[in-house]
Amino acid sequence: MSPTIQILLLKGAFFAYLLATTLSLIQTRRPSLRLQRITLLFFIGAFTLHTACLLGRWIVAGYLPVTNLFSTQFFFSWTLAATYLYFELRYRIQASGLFVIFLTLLLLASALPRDPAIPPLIPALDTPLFTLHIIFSFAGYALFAMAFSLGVLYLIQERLQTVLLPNLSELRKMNEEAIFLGFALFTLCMVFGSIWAQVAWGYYFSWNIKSVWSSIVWMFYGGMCHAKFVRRWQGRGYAWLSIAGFGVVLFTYLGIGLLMASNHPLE
Amino acid sequence: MFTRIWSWFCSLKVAIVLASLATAIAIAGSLLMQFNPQVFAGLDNYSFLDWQRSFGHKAPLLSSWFYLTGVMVLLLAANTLCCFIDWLLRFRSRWRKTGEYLIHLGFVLVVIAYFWGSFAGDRAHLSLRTGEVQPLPTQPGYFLRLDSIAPVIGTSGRPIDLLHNISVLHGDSIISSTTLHANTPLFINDATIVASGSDQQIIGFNVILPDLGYAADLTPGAIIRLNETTDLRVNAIHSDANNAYVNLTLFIAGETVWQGWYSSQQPVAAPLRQAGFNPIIRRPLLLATSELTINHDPGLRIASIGSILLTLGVVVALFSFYAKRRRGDRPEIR
Repeated sequence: MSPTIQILLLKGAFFAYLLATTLSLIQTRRPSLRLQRITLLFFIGAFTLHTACLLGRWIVAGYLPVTNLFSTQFFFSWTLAATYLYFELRYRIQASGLFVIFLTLLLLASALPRDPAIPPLIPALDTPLFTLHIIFSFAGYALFAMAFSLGVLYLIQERLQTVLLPNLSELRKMNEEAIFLGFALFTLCMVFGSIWAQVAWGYYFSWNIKSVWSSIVWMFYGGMCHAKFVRRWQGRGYAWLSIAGFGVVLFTYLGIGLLMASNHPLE
Repeated sequence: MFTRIWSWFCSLKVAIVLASLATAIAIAGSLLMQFNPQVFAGLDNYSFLDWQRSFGHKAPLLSSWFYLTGVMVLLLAANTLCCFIDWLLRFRSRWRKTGEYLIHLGFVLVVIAYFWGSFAGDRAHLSLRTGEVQPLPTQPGYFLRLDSIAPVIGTSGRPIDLLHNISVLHGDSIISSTTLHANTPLFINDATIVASGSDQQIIGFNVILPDLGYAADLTPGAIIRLNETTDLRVNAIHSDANNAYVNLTLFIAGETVWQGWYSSQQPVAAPLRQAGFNPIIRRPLLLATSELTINHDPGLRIASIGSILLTLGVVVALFSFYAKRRRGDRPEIR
């Protein structure tokens, strides 16, 4: 797949997401079943273009290209879109997933001006463990972003009681699902990352700040998977925990990658 | 009484409190770690116990977070193990939570393995020259020999990896030959051997001897004939940034007449000069070395079992999650 086609697919996906988002916003003012279907169609179309671009790049590179900032933004935006689509198809969340779509758009918009060239794979990253580690890591992050969005909406819905949003019970159910799925996938990310560390460095846990914070993320969401059984933490408490957890995720992904020296630089 | 104590040990709330405390302490500690590299930068080069002996005890306040986090994680693992045992005792009625409890057991095993490895394990570094045989630290009876090193050249023309061809000897016999490179370690019992880099060691100097009209390699053990009755033996070599040092013995008719150090920055000693030894150093003689990291971790097998259980647990839990959702088996809102 030539870089021109990649850019075309990427721009096509971006504009289709943009259109779907605009339609979602319109729908918050004028809800209609027809508009809802058209929005979903646009979103599916955007996601198809996004997926085609990802697969094309994967085939051309011979490995999952997530080795520079453009590629990670591109792949993270794809996992976010996939997460939104999962919840949309399962629960018809519509505008409840706007935060995740905005994040997708933001990541794609910041990736578009960058060079999409695929760098040659260095031997240190030439292992399926890297691919698995990355896929589960970003899938986990995307689900935590969705949980954050649902947590915020839960608090809004609690105050506004609006028909534009799903009811509290639904929001809580979706939030719990996002947290559980995120924790499950992040566990796999940690397992494959540890095996990779063992074969690359000879030990499965490094006292690097990224590893420590990844453990913190895992422990935090592990705690959340238990907190849903404690009455005091159900509902509002869980929503606040989702928001706090995403703060920890953001620091682990962006804060450490951009501000601190680590073995997981973003650029 | 026992039931109440056991319930407390298995308590979900206790687990949440312990996980929260461990998380909070680790957050604070990780920042201490980042801003005090003089204490923490070398942590990965040692087993935890060795690091504590070398660095940690000198900064007890800075390293105290390790102990606090460690205690919390150990208590959490104990609590998790109690929950697992409690679940096992009621397996017939709670088998649907198999996935979740496999994750619990996996976590407990990984924690036990990590603590065991940190306190009973060992990390060593070995610098191995081409052709050299050295005993494998932490594995008595085993030896490593570096057969060769070859670079892997990338499309840009630059070396992107190094292939370290290693033979493993047990006693006098070679039991395996393997190539270490990126993501390809060597496992011997509970030791993981990783090629962490390569270096070049100076093993001698190539010199021109203008008075005699030929060149020679000054390497330890070499004997250079200066004339029919005079020989020069190289005993040892040494070098630093600017100087080459060679320890020599001068023999005339088999008798030692002089022994001492020749330095490239000092005038040549009179007996050497008179014997025709006025060398001009052309280049150092280099030999490639493999830098190996040997990590002996007695808990590695347990950690591997733990990671398998974690993976299996996640897969089973994902299946049962959707099954439970279909049945509506989930906590209700107040």
